[in-house]
Amino acid sequence: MSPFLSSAGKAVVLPHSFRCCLNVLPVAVCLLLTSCANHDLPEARSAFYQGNYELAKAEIGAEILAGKDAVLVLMERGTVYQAEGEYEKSAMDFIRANDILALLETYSVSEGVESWVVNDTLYSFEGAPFEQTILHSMTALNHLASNNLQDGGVEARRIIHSLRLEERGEDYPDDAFSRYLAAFILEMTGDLPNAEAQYIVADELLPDYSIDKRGRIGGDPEQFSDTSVTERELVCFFLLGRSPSMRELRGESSHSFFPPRIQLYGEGRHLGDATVLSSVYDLAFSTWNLEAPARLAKMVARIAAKEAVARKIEEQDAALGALARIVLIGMLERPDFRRWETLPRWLAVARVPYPEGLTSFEVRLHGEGIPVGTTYPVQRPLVQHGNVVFSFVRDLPGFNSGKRDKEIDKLH
Amino acid sequence: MNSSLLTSLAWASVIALSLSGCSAFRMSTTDVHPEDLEHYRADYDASDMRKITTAVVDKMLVSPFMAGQSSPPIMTIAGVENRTREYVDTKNLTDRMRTMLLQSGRMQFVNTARRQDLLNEQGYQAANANPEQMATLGAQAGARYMITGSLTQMTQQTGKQARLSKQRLNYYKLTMEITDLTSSLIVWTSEEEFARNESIPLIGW
Repeated sequence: MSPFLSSAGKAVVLPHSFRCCLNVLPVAVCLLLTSCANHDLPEARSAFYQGNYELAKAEIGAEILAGKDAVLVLMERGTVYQAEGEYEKSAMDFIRANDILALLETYSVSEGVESWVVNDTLYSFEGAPFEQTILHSMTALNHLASNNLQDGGVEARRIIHSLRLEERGEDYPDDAFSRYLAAFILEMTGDLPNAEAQYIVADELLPDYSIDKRGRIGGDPEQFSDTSVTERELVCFFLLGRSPSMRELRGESSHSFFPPRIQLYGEGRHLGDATVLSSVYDLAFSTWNLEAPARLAKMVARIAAKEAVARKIEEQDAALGALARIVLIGMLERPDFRRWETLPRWLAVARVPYPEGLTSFEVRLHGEGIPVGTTYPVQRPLVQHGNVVFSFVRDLPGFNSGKRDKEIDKLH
Repeated sequence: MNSSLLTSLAWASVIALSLSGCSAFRMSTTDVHPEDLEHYRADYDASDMRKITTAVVDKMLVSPFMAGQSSPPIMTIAGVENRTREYVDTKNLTDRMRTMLLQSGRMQFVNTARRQDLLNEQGYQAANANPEQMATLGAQAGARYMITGSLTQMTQQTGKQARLSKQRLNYYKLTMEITDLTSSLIVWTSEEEFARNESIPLIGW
């Protein structure tokens, strides 16, 4: 029996039923906390990968844009808009996600307590540092596609800021693709010294390729001996494949380490190949490994605390204790696997000569899991700045060849 | 102090707290004079826009360039380049400068932003208006000088370490130039700068 002291200093014995209620109170609170964490993101992602963008947006809905997963939802919806060619709407979602991220800089004690008591999914989603950088890259691509170089410049500076060691964290991976994109935008805005600095950093991140100070990419640095670039160029950014699943990241299923070969053709002539600068798998895998020990330690401590609560209840009532264990550990304990899942797998760039008069080009993909003869005609976005024509391509794998052709019309 | 007095005080405190709590949860609005705007963050905001445009215009009006003008020069504003990490409406900045300069009576501006609308109206008038009242074609004023500028930002912040708050310092610089469209010489330039520090709590409710 639990004696409490009354105001008169006398011991008060609480009735058994009241003590049982007090004991199950933590379980009830935990259930209450998890009640609002559900959403339809898996269905939305599935619809996105099937090319059904309308359904994907409908599944996301408007009501969950304000919850703890608001940033994640905006990232996913922005990706859907981008694949649809709705670049300004996509940019608005990404910018809004970034604005919310700025507010999450302060650690929320209330959410922190909830995540310690129930599980990590109760803490507002902030994304990994590489996801925050790619958020700026995606926004920048939208601005470029909308021929909005000034706002593209804002995102280029945000990319560089987010990749500073003190921002991303010393052990977190750098991102050559985002560096290249930032450099390209700075080059387009005439900020050549800063563009060169970013091209140099991107070059240092790529052991197998060379990038010169003008942004030209190749396997052999000697080929860049000519310092003047006078011919018309096409700079095309490629967002290819599907971001790795959690099973792939944890090594529970096999996946291809080999990037696809991306060839560009104009009127039947081979213009050149694209180079994969970043792999989202590598970025996610490094981040996952870096954070795994802390995540595991927190989970073990939380399970131990929940087990202690279940045992305490068990001392009063064995059946209630077993029920509490099932609820607290069996039902509520779950790892936080929230990720920006509609990200592409490979991030590539092509910088190739682009003859005058060409108004479209063709992309041919070769690689594991890609149907033979997969070809994309690209007509938009094609934005010209001086001698440089900008474009980008989002490829969604998983379609069979026939269906893929239909989806191409939707993409471009 | 007897127990009844203590009880009364406790009740009074509860009622006072409840009432103040109620007002805190009510939505309310307050008019704020644009001169009295406060900064909530270290980022560029409306009061900064007002302050730097006023300072630049004041400097421009007392400059040797203006002293050397026998009549109000005809100007065009090409815009201010945003080179910050923030989405800044630089059109807003140049609009305010143009308004202040025009109201001073010391400068004239051609309307470059509405050039197409002007041409449309002139075309309409040429086809439909009374010839005596019609705007003369080919007689628009040509700007002699162009105003351009850039807004830049530099940020410093404390690194990731054990602490209760993060310090962030934002420095902004607005550079404005007047270029002679005939000679392409920069005839006047000025800088306006400001910096602001913010302390962001790393732990909150």
